[in-house]
Amino acid sequence: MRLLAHSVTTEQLIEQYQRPLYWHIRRMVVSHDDTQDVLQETFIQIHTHLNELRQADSERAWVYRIATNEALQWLRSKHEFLSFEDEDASPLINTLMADSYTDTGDALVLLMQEAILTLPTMQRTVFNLRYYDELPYEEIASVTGSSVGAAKTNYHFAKEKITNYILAHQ
Amino acid sequence: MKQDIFTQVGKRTPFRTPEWFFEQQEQTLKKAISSQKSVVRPLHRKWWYAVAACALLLIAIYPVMQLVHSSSDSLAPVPDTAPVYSQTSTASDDWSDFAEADVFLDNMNW
Repeated sequence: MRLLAHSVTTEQLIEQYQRPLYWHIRRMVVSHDDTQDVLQETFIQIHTHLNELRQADSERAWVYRIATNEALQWLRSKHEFLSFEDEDASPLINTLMADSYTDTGDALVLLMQEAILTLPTMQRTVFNLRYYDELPYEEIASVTGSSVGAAKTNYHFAKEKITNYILAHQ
Repeated sequence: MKQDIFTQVGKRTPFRTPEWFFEQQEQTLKKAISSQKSVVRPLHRKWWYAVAACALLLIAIYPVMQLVHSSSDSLAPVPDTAPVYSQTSTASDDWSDFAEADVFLDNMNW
């Protein structure tokens, strides 16, 4: 259910979005502890810029955009990732293996996550938003600041690369 | 084969959270936001603060302005210097009278 923009409070947004945003950020920054920090910063940003929600087309796209930006900013500061196009995934794969809240029980699930982490940041973000969060392409385009066509193309290439990675490493 | 991989894995991920994490996290987030509330002020309140600051500044500088104004008034008319000279000459006459009348000074052989 979409809350009315003029009546929505940060507390309501926390109740509604804390779980989906946690998982979205977790899939981007991987570590549980870092996700907590980024999530908190995300809601502080949401609270600070709540007036801007009135101009947003979609409440969900707006909160996801803030979360995505915070996660990317964190990745840049931590791993010196420069843009959506950077491809060095090794620090994230190391974090995945080292994090105490990673379940290493299912090899295929772990391999698929590893494959996702090898994707360029833009493709990875689009794939996660479409595959896990099931956002429509219009909202994905709004979150990533790209076009609908670019979002579709990124998703298509992401699926290809994930499949190829899994087949090569199985 | 492509479909098989995504069907096999589905939406499962290796990511886990501590028990009761989200219940605690919700409270943590709400606390963090409420501590921010004192910092974030609505725009109209900021305008009122600016107006109040200007009013206080005017009240503070008003006495200084008055002082400057009054001192510039006192400097404006230049007083006549003649009475000052006459007073000075009177004072020196007094001193010479006093010297002549003094007993001890008379006794000294200068």
